[in-house]
Amino acid sequence: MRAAAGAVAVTGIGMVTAAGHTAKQTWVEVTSATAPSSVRRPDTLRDLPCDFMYTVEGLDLDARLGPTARLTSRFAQLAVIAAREAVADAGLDPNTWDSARVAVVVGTAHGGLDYYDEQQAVLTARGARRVAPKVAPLSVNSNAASSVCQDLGARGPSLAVSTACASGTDAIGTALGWLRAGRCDIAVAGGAESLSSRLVYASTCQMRALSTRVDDPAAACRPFDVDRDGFVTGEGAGLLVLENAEHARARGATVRARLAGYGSSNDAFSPVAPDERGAGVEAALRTALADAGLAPGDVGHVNAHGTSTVINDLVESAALYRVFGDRPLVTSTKAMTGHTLGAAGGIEAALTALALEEQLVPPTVNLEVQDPGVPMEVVAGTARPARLECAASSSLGFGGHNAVLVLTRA
Amino acid sequence: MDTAEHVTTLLTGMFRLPPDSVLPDVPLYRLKIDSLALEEFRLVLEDELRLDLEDAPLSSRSTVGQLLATVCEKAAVA
Repeated sequence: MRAAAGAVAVTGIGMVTAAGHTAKQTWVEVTSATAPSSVRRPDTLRDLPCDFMYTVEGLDLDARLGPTARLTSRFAQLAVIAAREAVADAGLDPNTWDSARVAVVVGTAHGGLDYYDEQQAVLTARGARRVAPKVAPLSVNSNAASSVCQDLGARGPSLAVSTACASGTDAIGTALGWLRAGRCDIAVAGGAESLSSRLVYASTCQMRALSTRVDDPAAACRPFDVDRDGFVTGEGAGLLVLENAEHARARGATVRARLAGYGSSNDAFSPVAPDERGAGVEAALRTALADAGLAPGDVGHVNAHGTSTVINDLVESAALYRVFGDRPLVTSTKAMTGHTLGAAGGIEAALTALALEEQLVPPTVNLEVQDPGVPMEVVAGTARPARLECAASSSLGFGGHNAVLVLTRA
Repeated sequence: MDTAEHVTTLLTGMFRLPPDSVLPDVPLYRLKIDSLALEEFRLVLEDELRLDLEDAPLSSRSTVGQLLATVCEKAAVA
């Protein structure tokens, strides 16, 4: 397949997820494990109807980040680790690059809300004079983008993108637009999230959006399965290094995949529920294809949003069927990473790029009996080798945000 | 441990400084302690030493020596 004129090169991939501390570890785990191993019950969620989440364990952030750790909240720390990996993977040297031409775009839904929560507790218990002076810089959604800029010495345009669970996808789409417009030569883009705020979980339980499979948390996130009962959150970060094709070629970079198109839309319907007609996500899918200059029949794989809520999986799969028919192999990798909210689009774009590179579709772990209302072929059980030239990654967020990326094989 | 020693230990621990970099004439900003970091450190000192340093005249341009003298003075009258 010829790369579309507006395609940019994916030259670096970085991930920190509950499935692994690097892109490679995450990919191996997501394509080979039969169950997630990092679903935990954090203290902050004790006794809530959903008291579990996917966590990143065993990563010594203080040691890895040094003094930076003190001035970053956890979602930003994960972003910095993933950004370092992506830039190293791209073979870029921050000491020699033209730093004014390097952009950073990091999506997040909740940013540093956990730190806000922590200091609210200090304010209540100990008073205003004991509150830390860094609540504003650590709790803002831009803490990840600015921390990555500072850590890498990236001095071009930077932005936090926040469209709930579509944030990571919209961040990469924004970077694609910047590269095409010539605002930068290199963009580090994706998503980061780390949320364990008791307040938000308590509220989301009240909303009845989270799984309450407390007797078997590792089996709770089961996208497209007939017994799914809600999503399970996760923390993590996934960032890509994107470059103009010419820039990548000039420096002899290895191209992992190409980012060919981006589409986004809003349901303009509800603060939470997707429009059940699915017109919004369908529009985003069609816009992304048109942006890539490709036809539905070109797409061989979709890394779906697939949150494991009853309604998302029905609405999304029906929209996929209307656009693509039943040809593409669909998967949701959330049973291995959890729903990482604003990071999901970054992590899933990275996994989609790897699927094209490796010609392998990860399985939807925990999917035992596919919901008869899901009309697509969802890969379950084991990873499926396939000839893939083109793949899509979709995200649907609270507030009706829909965003889709189309990637092609390098 | 006397007050000056205690402050120095907290300073090197929090900002991961090699002990031999913490010399009396060195301004705090040279140790990468900017205005925000200084305000964080002021809270740590208050908690650890049970002092009120709200009106202690410190800035990131203060030297290590000035920091130690100011805190020791407050500790002496506390």
